[in-house]
Amino acid sequence: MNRNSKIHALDFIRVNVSADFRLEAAQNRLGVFWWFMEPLMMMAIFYVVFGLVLERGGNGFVYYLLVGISSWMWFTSTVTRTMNSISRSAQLIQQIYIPKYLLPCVAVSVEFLKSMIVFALLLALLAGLKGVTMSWLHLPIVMLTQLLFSAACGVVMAGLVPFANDLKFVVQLSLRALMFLSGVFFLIDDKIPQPYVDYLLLNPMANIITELRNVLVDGMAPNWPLIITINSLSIFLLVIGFGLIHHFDRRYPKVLL
Amino acid sequence: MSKGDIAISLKGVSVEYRKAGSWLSQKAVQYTALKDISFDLYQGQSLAVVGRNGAGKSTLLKLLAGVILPDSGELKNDDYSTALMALNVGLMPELSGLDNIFIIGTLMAHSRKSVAAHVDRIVAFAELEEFINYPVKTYSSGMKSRLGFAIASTLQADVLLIDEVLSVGDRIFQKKSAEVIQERLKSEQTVVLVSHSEQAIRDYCTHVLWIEDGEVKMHDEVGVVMDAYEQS
Repeated sequence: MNRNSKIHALDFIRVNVSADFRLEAAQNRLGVFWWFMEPLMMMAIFYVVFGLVLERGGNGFVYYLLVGISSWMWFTSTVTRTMNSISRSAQLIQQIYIPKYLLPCVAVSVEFLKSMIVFALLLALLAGLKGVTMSWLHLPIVMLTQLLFSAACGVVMAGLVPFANDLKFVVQLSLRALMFLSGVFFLIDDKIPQPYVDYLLLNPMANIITELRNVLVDGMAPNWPLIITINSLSIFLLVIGFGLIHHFDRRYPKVLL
Repeated sequence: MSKGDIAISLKGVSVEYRKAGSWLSQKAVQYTALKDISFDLYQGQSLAVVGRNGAGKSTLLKLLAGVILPDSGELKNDDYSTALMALNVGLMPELSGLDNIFIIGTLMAHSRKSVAAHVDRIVAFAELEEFINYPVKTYSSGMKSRLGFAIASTLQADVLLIDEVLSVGDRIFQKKSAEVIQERLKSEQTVVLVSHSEQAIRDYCTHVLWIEDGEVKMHDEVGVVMDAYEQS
């Protein structure tokens, strides 16, 4: 095979991630400032609407809300960017060979780094308002679980979207529905009657958000069997997604014409 | 890789495009862009590809660049790197020229280190000087082409695929790029040139592949094919 396929994968990802950041910084007058302001404003809006105006769930609810929103914003932005990563590069992949699996990797990395800013803000807020507990040590594992799951969803869709652009609409609508079903604005065990709790908890994101709240707000250890189950599912989906992308590696330029 | 070795070999290669239509209105489209193409590209050869618009020249370049695979037939390209030198391939207008050098460099399978080692030469060759730190969208079209040409010609590939690059930039840069291409040809660089300029083809290329409606019409030394092509 052509030697161009021996691309330096990590260098490619690094260069393109930093290019994407510079691109976003260059497009707006306030540049980098927005990476902090946008999530802060989002948090403020949700806090005012659901925490103050609607007065949901009493005093401590604000913490759950902030965790839920941060986690959800990371999930949707990762799925959306990753899903579009191959079809968005239609022009470029007509002209030069790129191993296509690198494109979703860049997308996942960019959203990961941006969300780390959000999580840094979130942790600072929680530490200031509520204090730090030992259970925070579990945070990296729960975040890794979310990273893998959102990457898995995005990668599978990235492999399919070039064949049917319509899938984008399906995904956008599903994400909107899932936002309400993942307990971003409420606590699932608290507000929802049986048997619906069991149905809602079939959704990995509902579980991940619950686990993040356990670890960050309630000072509990995560539910390990659950974490293992979700990660196994994610790895399974990642294998399918990357398998798909590898299989169609040199078909995408023709399909995306 | 020495002169006389086969760099890229095509045997009975065909490429079809299929485009699924919308369920509600369009019918699916299917057409054959290349039919049963066979030829060998030798190391150190400079081959021009000629043909009318829509003859399949771009599809052939994509095949040689490894962007797409043939639907039938055999394409052998053992361990040769190819670089497509079309105008402004992959330049990101919002980013600086310098950022773009790294993006395209890693796309051409160079490491960041290797690109960094070539940066000064690229900037000097492209004659961009302090403009290299400005966004590419502020460049004139000549500057963009110069940057693209400088990157592709400095970060050498075994096979250079050139798509109509000879009309790049002002006259001085044209002369400079022509010199580079001639120097490459002398140093046994394998070049595939797609151009509508008959003069450029006669000046630079030893062999010509003439394709018509996706099929090879003629493949021979430059004088033979160009005389026939100009008559047609």
